[in-house]
Amino acid sequence: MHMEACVNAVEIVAVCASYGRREVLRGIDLRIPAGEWFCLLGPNGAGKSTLLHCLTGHVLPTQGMIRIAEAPTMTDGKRRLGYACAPDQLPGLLTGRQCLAVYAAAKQLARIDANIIALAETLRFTPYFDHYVDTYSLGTRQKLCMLLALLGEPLLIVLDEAFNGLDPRSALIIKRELQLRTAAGSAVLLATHSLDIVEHYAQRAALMLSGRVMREWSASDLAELRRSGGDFEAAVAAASEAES
Amino acid sequence: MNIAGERVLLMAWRLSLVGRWRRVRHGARSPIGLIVSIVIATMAVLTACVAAARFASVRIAVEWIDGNAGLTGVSMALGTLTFIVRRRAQLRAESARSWLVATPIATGAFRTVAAIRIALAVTMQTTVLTVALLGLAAVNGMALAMLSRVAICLAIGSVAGASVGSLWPRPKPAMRSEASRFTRKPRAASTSPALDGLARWPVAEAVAWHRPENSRLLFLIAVFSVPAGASALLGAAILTAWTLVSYLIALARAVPAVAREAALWLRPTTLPFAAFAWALVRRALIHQVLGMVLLAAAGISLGGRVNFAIYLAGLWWVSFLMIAAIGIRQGHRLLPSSTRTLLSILLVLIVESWVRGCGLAVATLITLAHAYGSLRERR
Repeated sequence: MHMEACVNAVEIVAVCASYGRREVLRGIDLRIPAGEWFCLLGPNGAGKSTLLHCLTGHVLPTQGMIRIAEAPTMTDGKRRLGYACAPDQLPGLLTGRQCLAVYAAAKQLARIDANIIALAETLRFTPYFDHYVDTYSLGTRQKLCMLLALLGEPLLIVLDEAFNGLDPRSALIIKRELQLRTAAGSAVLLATHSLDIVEHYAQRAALMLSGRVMREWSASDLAELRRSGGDFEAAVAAASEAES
Repeated sequence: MNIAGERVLLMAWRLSLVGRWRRVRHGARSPIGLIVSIVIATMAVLTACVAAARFASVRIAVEWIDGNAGLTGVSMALGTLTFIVRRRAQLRAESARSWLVATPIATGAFRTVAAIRIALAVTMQTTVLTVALLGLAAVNGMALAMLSRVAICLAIGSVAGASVGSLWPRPKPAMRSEASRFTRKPRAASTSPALDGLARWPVAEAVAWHRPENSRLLFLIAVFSVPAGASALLGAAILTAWTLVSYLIALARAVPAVAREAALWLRPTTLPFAAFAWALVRRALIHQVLGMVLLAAAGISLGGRVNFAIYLAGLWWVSFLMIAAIGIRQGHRLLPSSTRTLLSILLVLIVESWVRGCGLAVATLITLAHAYGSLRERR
């Protein structure tokens, strides 16, 4: 795997979004450099998923600018985007193999990378390739979502609670794969409630509250927490309390 | 008898209905837009009713029902019976997954509320059908005695079907099946990028819709529509025609539904709108063309005129393209398409009933407008 030199995997400047009259994002500023694992934390309804939907094009920001892989347009940016959709968004009447083929064609890839097939094998997904998605369990659907997100060596991998329903072995395999990807220059943007992932894998994290980024933990902050054996859960709870 | 459980379940149902209505109301872009849509829809339905009432076909249909009271009653009873059996299975599955299943509400309360809901639905369906038919016939100036006989016939059929349906034995849980069970499994292809899966998806949806629990009603209607003493060829042609009509309608309905689901899933990719739309519609279009050719052949073999068969085929193709264009555009924008589609179909039918051929032109214009709009607004 080799990534082209790109300073920022994603640049989010003063992004606002709303559902009808309800303002959900109120001026988000974030820059995630290539090669970084960034975690987005926050209580339910803080706007994490909406921010990810702005990146994927499901929601149009009412204000602000989003640039993926420093591309001039959103369409160009999407060429470098890997997004793990929610398991219930997968098409029930396609097989896993058809899903991979369609998604690869939609991303205009010439072929499906051998490492995706190898990852499917490692995740023990191969026996499900020719079964319809509507017969899959939640964990199996989640594996397919991850395989789709990793297709085509994306520069920015966007995941929304992507480890829900996965067995510990599969979750560990995917976390290691994501570590390999970040080492090769991809950035991971993960919205999660799992502080364990932040403590062990993330290089940076941010806490969102009421549509704003209220607190950021830099790489050195997280390294310090790891070194001192500090309680990250307590730190997040304290930050939430202080800001709300 | 303690009816607290039933009360809670009925309240939960009522609240979900109110919530659904509120979502529709708030989902509209503006209250004015919603009101305008309702006014247009009402006007269109009224105009369509008046236009339909002018047709002699309404008179013929009511007279046929009156003359075939037994058959109408049996058809109504079978329709009600299959509706009740299907709805009961749906509500049983729903109550098994209910968020209230772990509360101390007795299992019997779930069954009672299900029975109330089914009874209300059957009553409403029968009332709407009877009132619509009688209203159309009354506009057409038909005798009151005949209308009463038709209404009684439908009501008796409905009550008979409901009585049998309520005693019908429950199917075993193992009989429950997912949609894909009746869809032909694709041959394992090579894992290489291709949009072929997207093209097959609407077809798979249409085939899945025809699983036995849905298609048995259609089969019954088809069987009863074969006239007594008909030749084997005529019977086969009628059954083929019913099957084809049902498949083509299911396919036309599947395209907008799939467009929305596919857009949810594929929107984060760079797939161009034109490629998305073409992939969705290409296989469905081939099936529509082949199906309509077969249907026209069946119609001609039953004694229909060639010109009329070609005209109907053309009208359907143009309508299918219009439904697909509206559905794919709205689906890609993650917006619902049913109201817009319904209004467009009504408009086309009204115009076509006024001047033959103009409806086709209107449908073509609507299709082109949506295709052009989609290509312009692609982001």
